Amino acid sequence: MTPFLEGLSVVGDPWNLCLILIGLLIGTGIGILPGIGATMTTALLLPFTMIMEPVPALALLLSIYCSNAFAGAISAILVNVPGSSSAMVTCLDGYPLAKKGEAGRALGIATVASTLAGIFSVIVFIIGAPLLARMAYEFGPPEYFALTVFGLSMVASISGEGSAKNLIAAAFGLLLATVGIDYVTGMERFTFGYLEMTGGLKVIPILIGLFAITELLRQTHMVDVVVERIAMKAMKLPSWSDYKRIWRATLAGSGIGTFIGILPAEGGTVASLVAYNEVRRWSKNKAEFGHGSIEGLAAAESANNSAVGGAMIPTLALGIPGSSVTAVILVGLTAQGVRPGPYLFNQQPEFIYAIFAIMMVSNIAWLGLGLLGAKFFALLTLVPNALLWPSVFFLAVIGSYSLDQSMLDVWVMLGFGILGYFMTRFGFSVVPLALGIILGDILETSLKRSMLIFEQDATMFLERPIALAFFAFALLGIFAPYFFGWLNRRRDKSLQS
Amino acid sequence: MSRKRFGRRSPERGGLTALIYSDFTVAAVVAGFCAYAYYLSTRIGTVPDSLAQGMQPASYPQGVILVILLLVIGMLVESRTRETHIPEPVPALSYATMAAMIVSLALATWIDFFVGMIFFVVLCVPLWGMRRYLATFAYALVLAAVLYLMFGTFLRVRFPEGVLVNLLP
Repeated sequence: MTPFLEGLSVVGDPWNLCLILIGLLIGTGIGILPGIGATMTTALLLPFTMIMEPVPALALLLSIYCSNAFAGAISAILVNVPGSSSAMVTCLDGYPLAKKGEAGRALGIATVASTLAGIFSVIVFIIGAPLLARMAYEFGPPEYFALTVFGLSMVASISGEGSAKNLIAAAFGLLLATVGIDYVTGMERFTFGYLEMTGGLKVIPILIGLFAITELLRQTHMVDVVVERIAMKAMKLPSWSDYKRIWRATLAGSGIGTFIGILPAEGGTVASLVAYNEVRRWSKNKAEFGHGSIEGLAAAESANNSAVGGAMIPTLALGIPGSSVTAVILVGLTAQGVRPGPYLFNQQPEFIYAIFAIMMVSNIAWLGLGLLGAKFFALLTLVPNALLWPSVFFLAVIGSYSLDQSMLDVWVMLGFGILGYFMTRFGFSVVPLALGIILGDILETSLKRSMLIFEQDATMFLERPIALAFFAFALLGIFAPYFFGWLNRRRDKSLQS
Repeated sequence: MSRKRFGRRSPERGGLTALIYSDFTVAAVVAGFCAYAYYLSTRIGTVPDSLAQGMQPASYPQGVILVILLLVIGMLVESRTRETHIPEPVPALSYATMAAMIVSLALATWIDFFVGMIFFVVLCVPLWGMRRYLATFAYALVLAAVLYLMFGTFLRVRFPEGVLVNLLP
């Protein structure tokens, strides 16, 4: 009981509460500004959190993550531009509702559905993470190797042009993770004789470059995009009849979102797309979808918010990130000396309970903040891009520099930012590259340990049922996009004929 | 506030652009990179078997390179059923912003950290369409002061020595 109470007492600490509030304000602010997502913000703030203890650092990062998922809906509904990619589907019904003069009602429904889904996913997180950790407690290096391969295989279906390109980007990340001294033999690899390279590439400047600078350069394509902003008179809570219409959609969105969030590398965007399609498929009012359906709005919003809690489950229980934001949080935790994985649940249970408490408080607090402050937060959509993005560069440079007070890190950050920009132009996503760099160390270590256990006989992997199951899932993850693509092409052909 | 397009390029492109963005070109570049990375991996030292514990330091990166090559083949197979996607041209503003980033970082490295950052803001804000030069300069100064206070004073980050930084307390 003591660790449980210790964990909960975290949110009673004024400093932590203050950080949660700051995180909620930052997360909401950046969630409204198109292009600046939670991944970029958490990456930019990582250096800042290095001076904090792990729990306050997490209070800041997690509250940003939770509120960002909610806030993307505000600009999606009022401006028809999603504040974050996961709010993309929200535009489909949120903006038509706003155009009908029901912006306040749409925001009210989005806020309530988001909060309910957020709480639902945290409850699943509270129950599911310790269960998964207990299972993972039995994992040895072969199982961890197979699990990491599975985690990396899931990038095949995330954004980008094709699954092979995503996997190439992830493998490129794995290769970059080998730079530095090999921990077993002490031999230098790809260091070009530079002393600074012997410790390996520093992950945080790379993440800042990939997520902040790449997005900054992508925004240069959109400087002259003119958006029509719809004014909102007041936030309106859903009526009883609204609740009766949206409860099924909210529940379905919450379930689908949490499940997709748990899958490694899959995030809110996929969750909201799947939930929206499923709810539309089963709805009695199909024709309303895309023209201002409150069910569609509730499904999209509940799914992208519940993916947040879902994504935290594999991150903490297995050390495999559930989304790009949790990948950044994982890097932050590791840099703080906290090693996520099943042992964390045994060794530092109070830390896990603190995370539960922070996420629950963030979700509940956002309900009040969203209902009272949405009208004021919406004013942020008026901030000119010309002022915003140069400031992001300034922050990215200071953030990268402040880690080790090295200008080399800043140049590395810029190099990866420019690389990320050109990668996206050629259909490669930057998220798999980041995941490859983050998971590279775990993959190599677990492979080497497995081979030691197996006395260099790789066929022994086949005698480990859990590892075998993960390999099977990995193959499924890699080949499922090809299979569904083939099915779609066949269906198109038969429709044409 | 005035917004003006900065050198927006024509969307019409010839066969060369299609060739650049084709998966075959991408595959060739990735394969070339793999060949170079493999060459570099052959220069990684070896250790006695007892120390290597069954896996030489170059074996793992070489395995990853092999996986990348297999995936390149997968990408080419995948591209047979997909049309080449040609993105819109890189706007001149992107190149200008990249150049401004490089110049400002060079200034920050060799002249003064804050001079480099202020230079970037003062240069980029008008490039991105906001032509209020005095207000931009004031904004750059305020931003630099706020970030210096936050990082230099509260987080005790020591910025590299330079013309401006040496004047600061």
